[in-house]
Amino acid sequence: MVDPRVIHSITIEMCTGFLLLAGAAVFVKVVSDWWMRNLRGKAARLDRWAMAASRFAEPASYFALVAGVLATFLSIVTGSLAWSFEDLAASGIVHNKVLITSVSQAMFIGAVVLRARYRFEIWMNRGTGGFYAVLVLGGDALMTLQNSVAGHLAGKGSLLDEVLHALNIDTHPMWVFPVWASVVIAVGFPVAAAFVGLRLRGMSRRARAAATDAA
Amino acid sequence: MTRLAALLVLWVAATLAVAASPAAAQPEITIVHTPPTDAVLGQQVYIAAILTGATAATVEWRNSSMAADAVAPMTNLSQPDAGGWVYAAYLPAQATPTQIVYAVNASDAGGSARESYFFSVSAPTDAGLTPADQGVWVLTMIASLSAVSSTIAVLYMYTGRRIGREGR
Repeated sequence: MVDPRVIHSITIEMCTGFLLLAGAAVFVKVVSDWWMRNLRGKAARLDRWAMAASRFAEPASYFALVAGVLATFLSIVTGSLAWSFEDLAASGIVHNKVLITSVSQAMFIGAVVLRARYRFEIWMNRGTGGFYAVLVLGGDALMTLQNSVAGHLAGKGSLLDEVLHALNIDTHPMWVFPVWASVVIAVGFPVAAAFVGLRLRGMSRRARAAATDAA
Repeated sequence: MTRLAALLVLWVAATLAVAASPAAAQPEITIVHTPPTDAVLGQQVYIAAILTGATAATVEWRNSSMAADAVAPMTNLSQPDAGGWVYAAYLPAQATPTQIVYAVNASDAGGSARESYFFSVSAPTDAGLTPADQGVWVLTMIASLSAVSSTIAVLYMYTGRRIGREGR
């Protein structure tokens, strides 16, 4: 019988690898797009490299993102089987890990939804491509922090410990917002999103009406 | 040929000078230490290290909230081990979960050696978390997911508008 912790380690390696690949491919795509927008024609060889990198990085990032999200769900299942619920519920570090994993997974799922809905066109506008890249790279940053927390959970420490200590980030106490802040955030963000959504819809309607009038 | 011979003599002389220097005769100071893994709240933390070639040692340490290192002297326990001597010190008990970063500083009259380590001080697992703690954490989780999903919804609408507008 294989130790469930070994299986959990394997699934963690899978999701971490896929999601880091997605982040790296998105980074390559951003750099190559930046080159093509700003420095095209300066060096023919770099132009060719940028075009080739852009062509391969985009589908690679999407594939890795989808595979990483699926592997993360698998990792959540294997993690819940590897330790007893009582042990998990009693540890503040586990709560931190679950919190960061949930937020990063939500960011990755959001990126998958955006990419699935708007396809490669998401990269045809500087702003939308930039926000998409921030979403994926932000998720990667949180995932890296989550892996560091997991290192403490396993009693092995983390390569990031010196950095976290320098930034005065302590992963051991349970991270929570004050209750009032949680309530304000939980209510305020959806209300603000609805407000922005209505404004965007109004702007689109006006733009369409203006285009119709012009025609 | 003369130049080659001169270089050879110079090399031999330099080798002999380095080999005969007092620094080369000094025994090397080594530190063998494993950070503690069982540090819990409210208990002093025992730090022990096997030092070779050293006559004095200190521990420089700090927790997450300290701005500067504190220094604790290590005591020679007069206990030989692995060719060296066991030195030990106690670090103060910690009141809150934290991470201790510390360095063992071993020295003798001719030099010193320093190695850095860290360990975590956590709450005993049987203390667990109270239902009130769990409740605050659940609220934090709801708030975090609400913020992320709202931001993604705005990005979704913004992307649709930008792509739709530029597509015409």
